[in-house]
Amino acid sequence: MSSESETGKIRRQTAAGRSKPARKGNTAAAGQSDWLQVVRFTLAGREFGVDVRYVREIRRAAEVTVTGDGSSTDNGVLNVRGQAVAVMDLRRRWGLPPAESDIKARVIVIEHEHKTYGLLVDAVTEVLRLGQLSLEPKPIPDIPLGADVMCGFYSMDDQNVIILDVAGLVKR
Amino acid sequence: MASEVKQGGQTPDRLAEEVEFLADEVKLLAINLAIALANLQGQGRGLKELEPQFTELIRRANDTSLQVSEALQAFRSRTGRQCGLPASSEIVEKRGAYDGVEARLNHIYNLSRDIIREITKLKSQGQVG
Repeated sequence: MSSESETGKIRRQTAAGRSKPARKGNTAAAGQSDWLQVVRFTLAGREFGVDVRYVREIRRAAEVTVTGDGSSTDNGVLNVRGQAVAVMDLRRRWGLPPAESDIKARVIVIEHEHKTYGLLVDAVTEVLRLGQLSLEPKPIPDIPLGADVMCGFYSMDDQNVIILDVAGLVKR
Repeated sequence: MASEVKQGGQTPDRLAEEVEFLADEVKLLAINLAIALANLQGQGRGLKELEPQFTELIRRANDTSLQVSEALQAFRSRTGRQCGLPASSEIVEKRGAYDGVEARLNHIYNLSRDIIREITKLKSQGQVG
C-alpha cells in the first residue's frame, strides 16, 4: 500500500542522539510541548511540513476559482466559509513546472496574524507528530526556496521533510 | 456526493467511482480531524484520546475501500464478457455484497462528517481550544 494508507497516522520520532536545534520563529512550540505536529505534504516529489497550529483545514484544489493570467504566484481564490482567500501556487512561486496531475492536489488553509492564506500543494499526506529535538538545521534544497521560508528538516523514511516557516512563507 | 448515490442500483463502474471518492473523502476528513484535534490546545483531552482509534478506523476503512475497488475491477472484467445475457445469481449476489460494503463506507463517511461538525461546533462555542 502506498503512503495513502498512512492517512492521519501519528508517527513518533525519537530524539535520541540528536542535538537540540535553535528554535526559530513559529515552529517552536514555545516551551509548551516536546512535540511538534506538522501537516505533511508533497510538492514536486519533495516532502514538506507546516506547523499544524497555523493550519485551519485542508480543501480540495478543485474548489479553487482560478484567476489572473498566470503572471502571479496567486493561483486563484478559495471560498472559506464566505471569506475569499487568495491561494498561493507554491510550484509557481518556487519556479517549478506545473504538476502532471492535479487529482490529489490540495489547498492548505493557514492563518497567520489574523490573515488567512491558501497554499496549493500536490498532495497532503498526514498529520505528523515529531520530536522537536530532532529538528535539524536548514538543508540546502535543490529548489529555490528562500532562506526565510525554512525552519529546518527532519530525516525520516529516507526523506528530508522540510519544515516551512509560515511567517516567511506569507511575507510578500 | 455519497448521499446522492442510490443504494442497490448502481453499476460496478459507478460503485468503483463512489468507493474511490469515499476513500479520498475519508482520508481528507481524517486529516482535517487530526488538525482539529491538534489545535484543541489541551482542553479537549477526551477527544484527543479518541484520535488514534478514530484515525486507525479511518485508515482501515480507507484500505478496505481500495481493496473493494480492486475487487470490483476484477469483477467487472469477468462479468463484462457476459454482456447481453441475464445476470447469474452469483453475480447478483456479489453485486448485493458490494452494495453492502458501499453502505458501510457511506456510514463511515457520515460519521466522520458528524464528528468534524461537532468539533467545529465545540470550538466555535469556545468549549474547547
